Amino acid sequence: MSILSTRDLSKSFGGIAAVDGVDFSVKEREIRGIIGPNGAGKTTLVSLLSGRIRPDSGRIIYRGVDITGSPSWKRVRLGIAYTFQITSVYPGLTVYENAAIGAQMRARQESASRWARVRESHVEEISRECLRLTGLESSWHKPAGELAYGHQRLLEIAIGLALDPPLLILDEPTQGLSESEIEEFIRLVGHIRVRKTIILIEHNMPLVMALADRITVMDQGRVLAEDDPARIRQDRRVQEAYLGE
Amino acid sequence: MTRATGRKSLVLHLGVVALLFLLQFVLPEYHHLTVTRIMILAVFALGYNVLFGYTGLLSLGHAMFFACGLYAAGLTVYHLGWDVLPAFLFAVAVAGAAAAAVGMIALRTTGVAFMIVTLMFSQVVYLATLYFSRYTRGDEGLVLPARARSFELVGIHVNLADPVTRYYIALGLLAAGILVVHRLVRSGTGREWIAVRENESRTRMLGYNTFSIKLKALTVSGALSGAAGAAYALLFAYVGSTFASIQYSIDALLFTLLGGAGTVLGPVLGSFIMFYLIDIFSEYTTAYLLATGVVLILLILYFSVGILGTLRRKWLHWLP
Amino acid sequence: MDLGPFLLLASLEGLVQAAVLSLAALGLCLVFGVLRVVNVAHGEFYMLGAVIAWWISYALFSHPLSGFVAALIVAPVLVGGVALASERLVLRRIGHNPEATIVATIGMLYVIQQGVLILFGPDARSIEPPFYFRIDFPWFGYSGYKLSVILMALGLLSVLWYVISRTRLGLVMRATQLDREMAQAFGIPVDRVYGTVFAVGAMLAAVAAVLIAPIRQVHYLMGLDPLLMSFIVVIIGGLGSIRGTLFAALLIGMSDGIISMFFSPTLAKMVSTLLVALVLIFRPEGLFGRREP
Ligand SMILES: Nc1ncnc2c1ncn2[C@@H]1O[C@H](COP(=O)(O)OP(=O)(O)OP(=O)(O)O)[C@@H](O)[C@H]1O
Ligand SMILES: [Mg+2]
Repeated sequence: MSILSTRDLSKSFGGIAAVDGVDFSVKEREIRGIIGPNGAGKTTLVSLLSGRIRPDSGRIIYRGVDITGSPSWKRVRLGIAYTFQITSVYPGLTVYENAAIGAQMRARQESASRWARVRESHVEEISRECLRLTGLESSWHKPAGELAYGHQRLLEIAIGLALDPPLLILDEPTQGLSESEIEEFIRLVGHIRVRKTIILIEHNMPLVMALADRITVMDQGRVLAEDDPARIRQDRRVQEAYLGE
Repeated sequence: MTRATGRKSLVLHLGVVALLFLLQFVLPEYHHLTVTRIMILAVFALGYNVLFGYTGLLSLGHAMFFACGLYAAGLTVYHLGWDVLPAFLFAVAVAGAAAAAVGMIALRTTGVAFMIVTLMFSQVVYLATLYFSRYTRGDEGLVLPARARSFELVGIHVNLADPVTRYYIALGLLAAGILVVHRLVRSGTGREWIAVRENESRTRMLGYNTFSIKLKALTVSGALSGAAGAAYALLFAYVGSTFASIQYSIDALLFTLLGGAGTVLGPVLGSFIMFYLIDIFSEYTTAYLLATGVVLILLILYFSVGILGTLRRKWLHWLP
Repeated sequence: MDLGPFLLLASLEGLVQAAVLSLAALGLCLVFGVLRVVNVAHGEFYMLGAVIAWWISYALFSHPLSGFVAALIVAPVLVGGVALASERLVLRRIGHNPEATIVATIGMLYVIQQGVLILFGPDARSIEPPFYFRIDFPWFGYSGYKLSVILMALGLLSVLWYVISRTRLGLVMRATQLDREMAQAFGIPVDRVYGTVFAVGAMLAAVAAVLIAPIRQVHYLMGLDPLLMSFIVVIIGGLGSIRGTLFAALLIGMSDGIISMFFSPTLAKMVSTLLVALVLIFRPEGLFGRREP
């Protein structure tokens, strides 16, 4: 059963077709890797999925509903969370407040009615849990801007997790992380994968091969191949796309 | 924020209100009136700060909301013979509605465009007060009739011509303003405002409808500004075009910047300091607005977080 | 007067207005185009130009023509100096941050305006035109000086056009406008360009004021109107577009003169301000600009 799919999705920037007629479909509870050389259109594709940018043509279907025209914040409420490739936390606020902003949205959605008050203790509970999962618990009071880069990336993920979304889109989450932080990340994914669908954009091949159930390879805005990791590894066209880079 | 710092901060804010209450017993008569005025203007700045300090939207047109409250109260009293209390409540509602209406279109812009658009809307309101001089008497203004100098509240006769009464009313309004803002900014609503200020696109990607968050902030901000305007009209029995001029929008910005944008008490402190600074300055020269200019430049150059912003950064991290 | 001659008169007045407005608005437009900041003190540079012109023609020269010529040179230079200094001392230190710049230039507005109030006093004063002659139409006579204002403005605009499109300075300016980082990478001293453009913008306002001063009165509060008018022109013209600005100046200058004859000036201002705000919200590329695809 597919949770999210696109039909003939296209987006170009001033003549460059960044995403070019992509048909793409992800199954419930699947971890889908997206790989491809720099500029292949991976970020553009997931930006279209999350509603950060609008497609020139094509459709996006989420759980049977056409969401092509709906604004990004509505998609998040439907359950599509997105973490930025370029770290985008709240640098001026504490780590705790960062997580709490995500947590508040979740608490609000869980509350019975639109007008019911969100309990602060509930927000706090969710925030602490997410910070614990990402190993940031001890720096909860620090301004996020003062965290080391790798920790900011983890915080980025923590904020996304606070929403507890059915579908989590991670755009190069391990970019710039140290070995030990990558270990941490793998543990984290192992922990949350039982309940979630994850779209994972990665340049780190061993990582994506190890984590993903299926892999989509993009090049020049198109889907070059899609298969399970073992077969992708063997695929000639994929090797060419990377070597030809 | 923990419960302990929450209590600490509430005590501080109540303490400031108590201080202002005690102040009247030591003030000479002239300053008595000045402080009454300042407390009303501080409510205006308090409202301005909700939008600028907490939500990060710099408006150059808040005089229009102040003027909305001022004229809505003044004109209904003067022309329609309304009582003071209904006129006040009506004025607050009008200012809030005006802010919401302005927000519906002006909030499509951000940054510099938002500043210019609010400036222009405010200029339109100013020109309107001149154009409809049949009702407003423009620059010359209207003096409210004696009938509107008192009202009955639950059997108590309130005389607005009495300085002590005026002081209490201004203080009451300021205290209410401080407590409302204090409560709002520490609630989920405040968290949303601050999130928009710190990183709007991220906030949208967390499922928040940032447009409606900003609209809410602008409406609250406009209603508070309007309450200040209405109180000014009713307490001092006068409405005139100058209150709608750009000058007043700049003052709200200046008070807020000086005291510390994004702190509850900052605008109050800023109003006091700046008002007295200009008061002293104007004894020496008619060019007292020079002080406004110099302080604005100095603040932007060297002191953009203001007095309480600095205190919070250095020592009082818990300050809301 | 019949409608024909009446419209001719209104158009002439409108042309004078448009000529001066195009100079002032172009100054604002250049600064916005290159520095990406809005200079709220622009009107005060205009006022300062007029005040300096008055001072020169009264204090230094007995003959109006020599006074005028001297003012035409000295006023822009002095105003340019003030602008350069304020750019160095204030705007550069805040890194030309767009929002902070608006607040800072509001501060500058007060400092200049109130400074002039202290030195020049609150009274309105007039300057004698450099020469008198009337051009006689069959229906009315018209001031030769006013016509010469149009010609001088056209002359200045041509010079400016030449500088921007044909000289190295113009090239450097356009390069900086297009892409600041790229310009810096190519060794263009961006900071110097910013200072120069800010000064040139202020000088244009000052020149406009020197031209108009013999027709209008000189007063320390005279800067607000040209500021708002320039805002309107620059927004209608599509922020930062020189051609759009000139076109809009002509349109606004002409129509303002004509509309004011038929409607209450306050109502006219109200409606135009509101319309321009709506243009900025719904068509930020200006009325004549092309929308980005
Ligand atoms: N906002 C934009 N404006 C113009 N061009 C863009 C924009 N965003 C992306 N592009 C272009 O679209 C193409 C695809 O970019 P995209 O960021 O989607 O690639 P990517 O696969 O995520 O690359 P990377 O691995 O480097 O993150 C590139 O040629 C890029 O230059
Ligand atoms: Mg990318």
